[in-house]
Amino acid sequence: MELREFTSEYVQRLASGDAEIERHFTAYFSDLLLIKLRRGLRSSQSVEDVRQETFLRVFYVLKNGQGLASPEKLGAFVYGVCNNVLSEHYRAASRHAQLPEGGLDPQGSGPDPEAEFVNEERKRSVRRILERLPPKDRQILRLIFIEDRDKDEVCRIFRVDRNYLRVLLHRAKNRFRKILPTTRAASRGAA
Amino acid sequence: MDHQSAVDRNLTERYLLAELESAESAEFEAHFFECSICAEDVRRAVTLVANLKAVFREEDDAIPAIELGPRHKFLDLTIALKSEASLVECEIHCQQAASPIVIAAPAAGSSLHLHLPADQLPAGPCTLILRDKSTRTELERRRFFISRISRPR
Repeated sequence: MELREFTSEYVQRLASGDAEIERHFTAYFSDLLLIKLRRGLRSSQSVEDVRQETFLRVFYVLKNGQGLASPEKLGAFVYGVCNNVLSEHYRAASRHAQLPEGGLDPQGSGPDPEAEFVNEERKRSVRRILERLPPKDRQILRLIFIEDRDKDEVCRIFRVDRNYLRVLLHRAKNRFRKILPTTRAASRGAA
Repeated sequence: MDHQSAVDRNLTERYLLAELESAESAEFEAHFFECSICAEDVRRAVTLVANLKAVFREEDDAIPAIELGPRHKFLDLTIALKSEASLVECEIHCQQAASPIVIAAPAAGSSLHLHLPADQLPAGPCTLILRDKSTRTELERRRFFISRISRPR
């Protein structure tokens, strides 16, 4: 992902419909919105609805002359709009349906939103990282991320502390960065 | 929240491991929407975990399954070795067990026969690591899936 500063020029070009800046903006914030929303929403359709509505509202505000006082606060603005849309989504869901067991947003049958982050090149990099890990660390990662096991229980089984889990993830992330220097959103043709 | 504080507190890792309280999590999200360095760090970590899950699922789909019923006392495995060794040390790592089962077995020609106690093999994926006993060099590793069935088929 190309890093760009959110300057007055960037916001003005975004407001005026500059295609290159719009592509960069949507690619940059699509991932961040997905990362945030999948923690609160379990259905892929809800994630996509809230994400699209967030973009629509941000573009509406910027293109209708209600620009930002501080362009460098563009990220905070997107985050705020997303929170508003998310609150409305929860309110609408609670008005229209009885609260289902497990939350307001039952698991949908749509595609897994995380699939956006997966591709063959990245899987190859992950296999290289896994090949170098001791079996114990592979098992820990598997139990946490595939089995969704309680982390304290995993720590008990392997006689490690919670800090071990953080360090394991941190090291894997650093190896991933060395193998794949950028996590560009290639599938969406991001800038 | 400033960038250095997010780094010092390992917030990316703790966010991914769902260790943050709700307010702390919201504070970190607000931060990485503004901080491009933390945004890239979180994006990379999420990408790693998503691909990790995909690779693990593919491995699980591809590995052979071994069924063990209540009457099985032992699991007998015969393995065709890809490299030569006279004495092979076998480490069996099962997902649900903290310590691996470690046994030494003599190779018979190019094959190895293992006689494993069934009660020490919990259901789930297992990794078998074969090492040359004398040099401790890893020869190969195999994965298989233990499936527990209530009655023999």
